[in-house]
Amino acid sequence: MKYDLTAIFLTNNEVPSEWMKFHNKILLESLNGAPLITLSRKPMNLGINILQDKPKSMSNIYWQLLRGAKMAKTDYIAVVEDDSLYPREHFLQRPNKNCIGYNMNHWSLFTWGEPIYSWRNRRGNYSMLSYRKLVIEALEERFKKYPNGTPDRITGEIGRPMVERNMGITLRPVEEFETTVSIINFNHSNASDRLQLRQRKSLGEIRANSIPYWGEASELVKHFK
Amino acid sequence: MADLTCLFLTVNRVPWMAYHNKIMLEAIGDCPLITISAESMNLPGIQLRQSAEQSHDKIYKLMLQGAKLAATDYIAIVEDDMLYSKDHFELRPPLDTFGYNWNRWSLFTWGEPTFSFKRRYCNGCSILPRLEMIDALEERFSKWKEIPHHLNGELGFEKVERNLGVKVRKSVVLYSKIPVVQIHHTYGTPGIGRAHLNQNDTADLEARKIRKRMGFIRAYEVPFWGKSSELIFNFK
Repeated sequence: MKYDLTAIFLTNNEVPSEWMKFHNKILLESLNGAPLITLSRKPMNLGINILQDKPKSMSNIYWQLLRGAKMAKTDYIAVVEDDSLYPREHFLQRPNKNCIGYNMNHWSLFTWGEPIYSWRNRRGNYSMLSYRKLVIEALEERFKKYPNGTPDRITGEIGRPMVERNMGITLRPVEEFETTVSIINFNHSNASDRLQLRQRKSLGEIRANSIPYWGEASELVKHFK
Repeated sequence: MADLTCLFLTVNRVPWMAYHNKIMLEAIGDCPLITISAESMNLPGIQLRQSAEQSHDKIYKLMLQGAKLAATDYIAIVEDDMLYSKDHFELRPPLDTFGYNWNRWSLFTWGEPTFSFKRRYCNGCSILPRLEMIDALEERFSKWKEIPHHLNGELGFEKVERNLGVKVRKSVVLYSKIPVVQIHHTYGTPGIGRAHLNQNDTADLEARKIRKRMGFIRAYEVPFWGKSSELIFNFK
């Protein structure tokens, strides 16, 4: 079977080991054989594995994404993060080639406080699925302007106008799409986001206790261990 | 003293009026209430009558009538198929901006009972500065004697106002802590939903009422209102 999408899996190998097993099992089921490139801190037996070559930072996330995108051969790439669960349907999406694609059906689930799904009207890197050459073009432009890495305080998603305006780079058009089954993004204290590190992040405005496919928040959160 | 009047519009066709009104009265608290209904109702506040005829044009004309009768800075539209909580009526946009509460779950009376969410303005979730509302509606109706269904829509909704050829008003998205729940049912105002139907679309206005699609963000249980499968039983 010929696949036209490669998943680029970014991990610092800092999430709990039981969770990693659970995550990877779901990921492989959802990918259904699509190519996978894993950029990790520790060697992993998962797809094509390469080790990250720069220290942890916000800029590094996008640097590793660029490395993965250049290694891939398919038309499309999808970001996979180690704290996010993806339905198969997500990897079947194909946004316009001229746009950065984001799946807007994403629930956040915090590992602290009351277990509840929450949604915010925000594009997250973990839900990005786009035409590969466009991602490479956008990220090469960033690192050409900031050869030593983009400053953490202004680094963020491709296609977010505020981020690209602050960096002084091209504003990339975005296509938002929605799958019927959601992506679940866990917010935890091993994340790159400082607000998550300090457990200071606030819930999104739209909230649910139980959702189709993934079930009750109070049950799903138990897998993050 | 309350600075917001609740304007409740109903043609008394929905089956759950007693349940709805109990929740509504708890949520609106001390806010003044103006009810424009087809039948006499046991509710506090000012009561006006409307005919049983249903149209979107009529809704906006009644909104203008109600806004002129009120004396507060703000108007909140209350619909008979929506459940509100107190904090919805505490939302306040600036006085020159129409506010829409996006924290709204839809629940269909057909199919599997599932809450669904769309990022969309909804008249029943609006908090409207009264004077700006009167100005906007008077502008609409001075230009259009009757607004065709496919052109009608929320105040401050840019696409609608451009299509109507009226001033594009400011609007803002608001979020209440507790969501609003809107029941989608077959007693509502008929409308084709768009000007041009696709080849397989039915032109039957009644049949079109259950062709509405759920939003993709879905839930079976939400805070405050509980399970969709249980809440839907109140709509009877």
